[in-house]
Amino acid sequence: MDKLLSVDGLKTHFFLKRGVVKAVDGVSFALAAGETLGLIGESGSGKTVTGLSILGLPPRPAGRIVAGSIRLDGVELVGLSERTLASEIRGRKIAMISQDPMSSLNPVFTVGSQVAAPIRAHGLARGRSAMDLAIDELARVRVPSATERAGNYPHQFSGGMRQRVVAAMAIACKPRLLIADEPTSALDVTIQVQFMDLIESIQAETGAGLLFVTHDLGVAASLCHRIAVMYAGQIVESADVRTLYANPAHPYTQGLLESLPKLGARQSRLSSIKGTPPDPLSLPDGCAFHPRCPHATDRCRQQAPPSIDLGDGQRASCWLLENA
Amino acid sequence: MALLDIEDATCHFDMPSRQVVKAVDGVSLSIDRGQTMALVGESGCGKSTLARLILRLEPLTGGAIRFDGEDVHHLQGHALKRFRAQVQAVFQDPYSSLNPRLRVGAIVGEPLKAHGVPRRELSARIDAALTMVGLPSQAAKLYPHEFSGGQRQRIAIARALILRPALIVLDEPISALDVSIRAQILNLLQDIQSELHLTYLVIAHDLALVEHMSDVVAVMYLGQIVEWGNSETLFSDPRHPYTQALLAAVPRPDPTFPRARGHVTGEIASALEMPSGCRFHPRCPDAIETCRSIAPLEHMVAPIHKAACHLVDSAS
Amino acid sequence: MTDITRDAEITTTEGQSGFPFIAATVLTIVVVCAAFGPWLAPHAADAISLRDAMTPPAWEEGGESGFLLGTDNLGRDILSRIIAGARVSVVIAAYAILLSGGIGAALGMIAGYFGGVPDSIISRLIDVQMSVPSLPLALLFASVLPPGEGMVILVIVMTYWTWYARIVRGEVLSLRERDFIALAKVAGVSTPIIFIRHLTPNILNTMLVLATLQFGSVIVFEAGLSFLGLGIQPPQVSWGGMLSDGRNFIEVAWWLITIPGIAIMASCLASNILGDWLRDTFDPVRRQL
Repeated sequence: MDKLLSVDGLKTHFFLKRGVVKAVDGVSFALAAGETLGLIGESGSGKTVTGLSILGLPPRPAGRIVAGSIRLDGVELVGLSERTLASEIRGRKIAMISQDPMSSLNPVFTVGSQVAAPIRAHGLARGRSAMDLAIDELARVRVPSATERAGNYPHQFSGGMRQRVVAAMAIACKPRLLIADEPTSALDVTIQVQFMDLIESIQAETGAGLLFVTHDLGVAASLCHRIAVMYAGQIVESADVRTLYANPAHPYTQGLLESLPKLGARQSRLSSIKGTPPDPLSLPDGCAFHPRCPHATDRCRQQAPPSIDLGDGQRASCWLLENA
Repeated sequence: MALLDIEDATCHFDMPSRQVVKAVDGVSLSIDRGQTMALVGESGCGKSTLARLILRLEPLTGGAIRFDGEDVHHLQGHALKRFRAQVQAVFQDPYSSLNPRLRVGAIVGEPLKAHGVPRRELSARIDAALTMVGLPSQAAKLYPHEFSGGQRQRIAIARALILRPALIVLDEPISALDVSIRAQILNLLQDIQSELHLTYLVIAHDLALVEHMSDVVAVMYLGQIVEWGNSETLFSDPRHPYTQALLAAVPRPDPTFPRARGHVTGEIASALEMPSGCRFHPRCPDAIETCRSIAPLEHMVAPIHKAACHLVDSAS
Repeated sequence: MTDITRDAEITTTEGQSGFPFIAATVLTIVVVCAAFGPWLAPHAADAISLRDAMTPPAWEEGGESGFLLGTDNLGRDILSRIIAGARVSVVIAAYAILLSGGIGAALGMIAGYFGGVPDSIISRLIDVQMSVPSLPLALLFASVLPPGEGMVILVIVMTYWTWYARIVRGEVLSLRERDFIALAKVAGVSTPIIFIRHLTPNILNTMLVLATLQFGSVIVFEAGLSFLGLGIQPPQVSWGGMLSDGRNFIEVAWWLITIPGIAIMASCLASNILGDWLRDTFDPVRRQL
């Protein structure tokens, strides 16, 4: 299968007064058209910055891509000028759906004109026909009576409907890749289900790849084909979704899955990961997870583990798996 | 006698547009000593307002809330002070719940000071509370911004338990925390509960957490309790279509589990435009004509299990 | 990740760090002159010496080293008068800021915290006060009260308390919604203690920024009143009064009007720069509170 997106050795660092934060530190993954890759991690793990780096938008001015390559359909994106990125890539080939639909929408413009804006900006259509396309997109994301609703303002929509409008904006220019950063976190569970259904049907229609950034292991299990788990700026484990949930290899992934309360399980006590996520300014030596790892050895404290191929597309970075 | 007894509580807000928001509309519940009751529902269902009513942070517009037999909203003077020592709270956002300008010791010790505990006892009791939540006693000298989210939530818990209250209201106590921290805090809350014989009221939207923690569950929708029951029976045999839909929609960390399909449509109505009859009928897959016009009454469906739905038969 | 993006903003302000230092130096000089004026000044501010009248500054042709910034039409030393004027400006600014800040903050906190009727009353009072232009108010006061420092302070306080009240009210409105306030109530902390322990420390930064910014405008305002003859009365020295006196000689002695002008402008500019810098420094987002 040809890869739509391939990220190789991506490093995005923040240069701050107090030191350098290696927010993304050597991340590699690939994504095929129509595929959904879940990027799972806690706050500070670098999952959001990875998404922003692919868009060419590492948080400025402190954030910079310092190494690595990002290829979309074989075209290198790292090093492209801001102008090229803005006119040919962002909104056109890669689009983003963010967590908070209210702040993604401008309260003073009608929903229709906001969905039409990227269509006009990228010269796909003008005037009335851009608006017609926008209404088609609103209908595609199942905003009821789209023609009338296009004339409404964001505050006249409910939370779930707003997130649909944001999705319509994102897919308006038929992008090849969608990056969704915690798009369901602000939604109630019954609305989450509806939104996941919607995203799947959009993918089925457009064949777009989806990079789904989230901290929610439940939502990721339901939506993603493959999962990459991030910790302290690195992917510590990646695998096909069924393999990852059934046979997690990295102690961090294992710990996360075991610590979740599960419906119907009625555990008397949860197993928990000890300690707290590391300070991004002073990451531990060796494996960044070792201070919290129940199996850490001296080697883990000194040397960073390599990424080990476990077969069936599963990889994990852990010394314990070296001879497995 | 129940420790907390809520009887037909209502909280209506008048809007400038002369409309009335019925945030809490006739809720009756009671919590026994040592129990954990969970209140679940989607955003806008009124669960946080109900918590604030119990804490006497919002005025009650109807009904009564009794704590240990005394009417909370009519307490004054010494009786009010006693209530304030007996009921504490932990909120969702550990960044908003700690005053950034005070040291941790002052934050944790504040309830003691407010209740006139002698100065010489303060530091020992602050120490003990910090130890109990797993923080070193040096923490007392630091400011909140020197701690991570999980540690801040521990500080908030230390503050809530320092007066040895009878009831702690936990409003989404872990949902703002990192995933790898949540289990730690949950376990801590359970340890403290058994050690201090606390009663918990947990407000949450995460049903897996609720099932894990609670003895009794109340499901809220648009200001009313639609289903109430013993946690075990309610989760194994949910009777109200809304509870069923909520349970089906819970995202499970299991890729082989099929996603809920076609259960409920639409979204929770605005509290300004309450649907007639059963408030859930516009979203209910099973709604019948009666549901549109007549509001269902709560009735027993099993021992320690009530539901408010026309389609659910009473237990004979 | 938000923490890092917040941190990123800190680096953006690094480049301009020279300005606040200069501004702080200027203000320190003004305050030192106010405090130790009589010991610093080379001459008495009101020592008349007609023989030395209209001496230009020392670096000009005909200047004398004894009168560094020249003299006025009565031969009084300009430098000594600037130093004496600083004292008047600083004393008035200090009283005006303390009083207007205290009154404004107290009313703003009450309005913001309690809302409802107290808020309506205070907010209407602010609206009314802000719709009264300050100059006619000063004229009115000047006609019924004896002119001088007290009257100037009163006019300034009447004009400026609304600043503090409005901003503090807004700030308390959002503080009130913070969970630590609700938790203090739940713990049984009394309302006065909530004001002292929880509200006041959290508005102090804002107050300091406002006070620093206000320092400049109070100096300009006071100079304006004195220039019009409504403020400080001779023989007391004030920068505004010096401007007014020098106006008649603007064609023959530029320094009479330029030097007090520079003094006013420099102090005002310095206080604005310092105030802006303080605001950026205290910004909770940038400090990651």
